[in-house]
Amino acid sequence: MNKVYDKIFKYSLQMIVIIFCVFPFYYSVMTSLEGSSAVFEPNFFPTEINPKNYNYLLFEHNFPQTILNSLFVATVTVSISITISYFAAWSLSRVNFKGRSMFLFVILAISMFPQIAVLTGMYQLFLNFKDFYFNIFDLRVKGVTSLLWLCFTYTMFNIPFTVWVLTTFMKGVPKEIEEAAIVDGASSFLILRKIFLPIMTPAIFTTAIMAMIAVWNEFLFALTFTATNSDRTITVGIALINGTIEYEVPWGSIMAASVIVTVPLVIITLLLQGRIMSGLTAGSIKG
Amino acid sequence: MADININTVNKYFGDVHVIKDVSLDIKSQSFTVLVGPSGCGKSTMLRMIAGLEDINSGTISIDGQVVNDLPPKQRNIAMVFQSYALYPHMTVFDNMAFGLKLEKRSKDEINERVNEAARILQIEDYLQRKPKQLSGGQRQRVAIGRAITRKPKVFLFDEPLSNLDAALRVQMRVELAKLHNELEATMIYVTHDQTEAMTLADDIVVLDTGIVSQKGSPLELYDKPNNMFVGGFIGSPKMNFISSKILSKSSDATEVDIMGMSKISIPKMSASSSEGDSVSLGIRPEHLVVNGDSDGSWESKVFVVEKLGDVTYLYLEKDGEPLVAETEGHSEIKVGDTVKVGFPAGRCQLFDSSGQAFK
Amino acid sequence: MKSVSELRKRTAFIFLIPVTIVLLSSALYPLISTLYLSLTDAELENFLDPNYVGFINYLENYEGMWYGVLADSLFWNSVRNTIVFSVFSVSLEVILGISFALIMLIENKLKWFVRAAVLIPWAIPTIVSARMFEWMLQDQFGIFNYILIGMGIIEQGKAWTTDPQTSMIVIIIIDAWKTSPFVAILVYAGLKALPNEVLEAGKVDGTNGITQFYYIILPLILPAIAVAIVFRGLDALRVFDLIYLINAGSKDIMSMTVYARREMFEYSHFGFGAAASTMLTLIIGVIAVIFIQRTRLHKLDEME
Ligand SMILES: Nc1ncnc2c1ncn2[C@@H]1O[C@H](COP(=O)(O)OP(=O)(O)OP(=O)(O)O)[C@@H](O)[C@H]1O
Ligand SMILES: [Mg+2]
Repeated sequence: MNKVYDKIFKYSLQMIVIIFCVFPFYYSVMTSLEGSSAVFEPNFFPTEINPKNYNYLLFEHNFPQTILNSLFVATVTVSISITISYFAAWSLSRVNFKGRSMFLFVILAISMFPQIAVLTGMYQLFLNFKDFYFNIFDLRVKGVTSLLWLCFTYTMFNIPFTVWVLTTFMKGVPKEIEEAAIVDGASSFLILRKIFLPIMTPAIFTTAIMAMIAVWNEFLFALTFTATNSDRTITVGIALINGTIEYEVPWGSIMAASVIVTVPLVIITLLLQGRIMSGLTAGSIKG
Repeated sequence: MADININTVNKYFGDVHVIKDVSLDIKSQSFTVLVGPSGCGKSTMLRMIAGLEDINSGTISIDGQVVNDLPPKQRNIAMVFQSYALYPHMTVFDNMAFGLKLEKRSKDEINERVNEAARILQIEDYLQRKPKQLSGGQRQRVAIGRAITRKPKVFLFDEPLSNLDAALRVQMRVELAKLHNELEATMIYVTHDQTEAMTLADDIVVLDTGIVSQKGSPLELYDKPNNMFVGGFIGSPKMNFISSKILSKSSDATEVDIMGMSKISIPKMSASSSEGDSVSLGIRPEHLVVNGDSDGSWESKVFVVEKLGDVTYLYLEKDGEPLVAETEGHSEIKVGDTVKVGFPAGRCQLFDSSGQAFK
Repeated sequence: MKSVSELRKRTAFIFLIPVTIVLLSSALYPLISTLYLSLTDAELENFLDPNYVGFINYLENYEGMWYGVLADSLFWNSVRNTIVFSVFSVSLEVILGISFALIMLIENKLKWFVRAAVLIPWAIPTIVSARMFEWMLQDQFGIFNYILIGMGIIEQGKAWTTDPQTSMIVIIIIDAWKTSPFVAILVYAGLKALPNEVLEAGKVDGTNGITQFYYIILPLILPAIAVAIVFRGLDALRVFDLIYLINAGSKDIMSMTVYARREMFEYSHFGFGAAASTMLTLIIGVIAVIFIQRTRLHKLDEME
């Protein structure tokens, strides 16, 4: 008898966690699928399925543009930070030099920095960058100024994280493998390309996904450095979805937008569950 | 030809002095085994020869050329690691071919050399497998194969067999001996295994906390240890040590007094010793005579009997000090018996209070 | 002498150059120029060429009245809000995180679902979670009020997010929802790293679950918890998105970051805003150093 209670008890604890974590997401999916009138009737299960909110966002709103912008920024940023960090990680995990711990400590400190601490200086730099950029390029490509700038700032705020995680992962590769390659006559660069890259691919991939999610979710810089409808990223896009009538918040559309930007993340996260967990752990505690 | 000359080499890790003024001459095509307790610097020695570790002072030369500043690939060496260190994402073939590809050898030559190595090591059937699809023994063969495809003049082995089970270890040991004959290369081999050291080595080098304690052929080290450390380190079970005092010295022998026994004359000399000095008398278990004729003897209770089939080890005591004696395999002696233990003076070693052997 | 390890060191330095450049140009330079701007009269018009004015953005006595960030009660209010928010949200997250981690350890058919579910709030952008909760807590049509009314606890829908009495609680809860999974994952990893015998030991000598947890497991996972607290704490101190979205203008929940950003981008007081953000950096720096010393996080950095 006791065993049965124990089982039920455990299952209920698990159900509580699942509902706690999933319910808000479920509820927004449900809301997003309801038409305007049904939205304003609280219920637990959808009373109708109506693609109206999605149609509005995807065909009448500039939401697709914000998705493309975010994808662009995320791709550029993550490729650059991962490449740079990969080489740095080798130096920090494989080579003994004075100041290595110091370097890692500075990296950790920067990752804990409040972004606002650099915002004023960054904004001034941004205005200079814009001037400089406008002088060089013609008007057609002006639209991407803010996005390029975002790539730059995001690279900075991603690099401490990617360096740290990749360093931790690289420490996990036995040093004899590298030494064997040295004896075989490989240069450091070649070792990074031919030996570490294949071994580290899963770790690099995990780190990249996590960096991508961080960029995708960033708000403060995006809000500060984007000014027009055409260069907004998704977080700012969602924050600025307004109703046509004042005071009436278009909850259906907001929820639909939320669902659109969240579903890919949720799918990726579920698929890569184990890897992301180890990545998160590597990012904070080290191996 | 690949003599290796190591000349007053020192190595520090931070403040820790790990290798202390080590000088060694290793003859071309010899098989040299490095032994010593854990942490004494064996791997460090090997890695310095390989070029994986810098040296702080002294010189290492291979074939007459000083290699201190040469990277590993220019030293014409290959190294086999205890953990195999195979490239996990490459097939066995690619593992063995990697070094050759880096040397920009032709395809045909690579194929030929890899297949040749695979044939010698009997791993031809696994060439297309990945390391994780292989057993420990097979992986070790691949690791050795990777070393031999490049035809280096010097092979460095760091405890290559220690991850294998006993039977496989014996088999690989024999194959390594054959390989040494076939390849005509200089081999330096680190091991913890007495049998490997004794059977494979032309020369054994005993390291003690970064100092070469003694270098010589296996039997030289066994019969004439330079000091107590080597005496105790080589041979298993260990040499027994009994404390005694010098009674008198003659021209070719030293007379010592062992508590509870008549004085005994050992045919060993040391100029620096004098009457009354404390010395340690060393005798190997197999030289102790149980219930037989000898130059000196005492009675001891038997505490433990270990029957190994070919021999039996008796755990005894002498004035409270434990002692091991070897006797025939089918001994009738039981625990609790009292036996007469004696030793032939000619088989004894004498060590002075600083551990140096009498000659 | 160009030995092997010298060569490696040189390669290592070359590989570190790009990271260093990025960090210098995008972290150190703006940090220093923010510091400098905080000593200027930068406004929108003269932003690219401001005048040095000393410390008046921080504190100035002008005709008997005190001005500057340090004399602004709204600033101190935002400091208080930030600290209240950080202390309560991190505490809540640690408690929830540990509970979740323990529940994640239960081995049965739901195990996979629990682990998957826990990652969902982590992956969702803060802005989205803010909007979701805002919607659920909405006064007229929110499901939360609907449930409470249904249960007879309240009669009329309450505007949880805008009510000064509840808005802080609401943001703490949203933050806890979003980030306790992170704590849970760290603690879970810490628990998984324990040898099985530790978890089994209690069962054998019959100690009950809570005693076992308190005396045996908790001390062992304390390092993981400390790390989680440091990371979460420093994150909470710079909170922005959530508060900006829920109610950017409310002084009941305004955080230091929201305060500083508002000065800069809504009032165009760049010098003043820079001073406010410098204060924030200082406060976080001091707290970080204390945290890191206390938890010995800097020791984690030692290799091998
Ligand atoms: N990279 C290093 N940094 C600091 N100290 C080291 C390093 N490598 C080795 N040592 C130290 O140098 C000494 C010799 O190490 P080494 O690995 O050569 O020992 P060993 O004889 O091979 O031991 P074992 O038989 O256990 O393999 C040890 O005290 C070890 O702690
Ligand atoms: Mg070793």
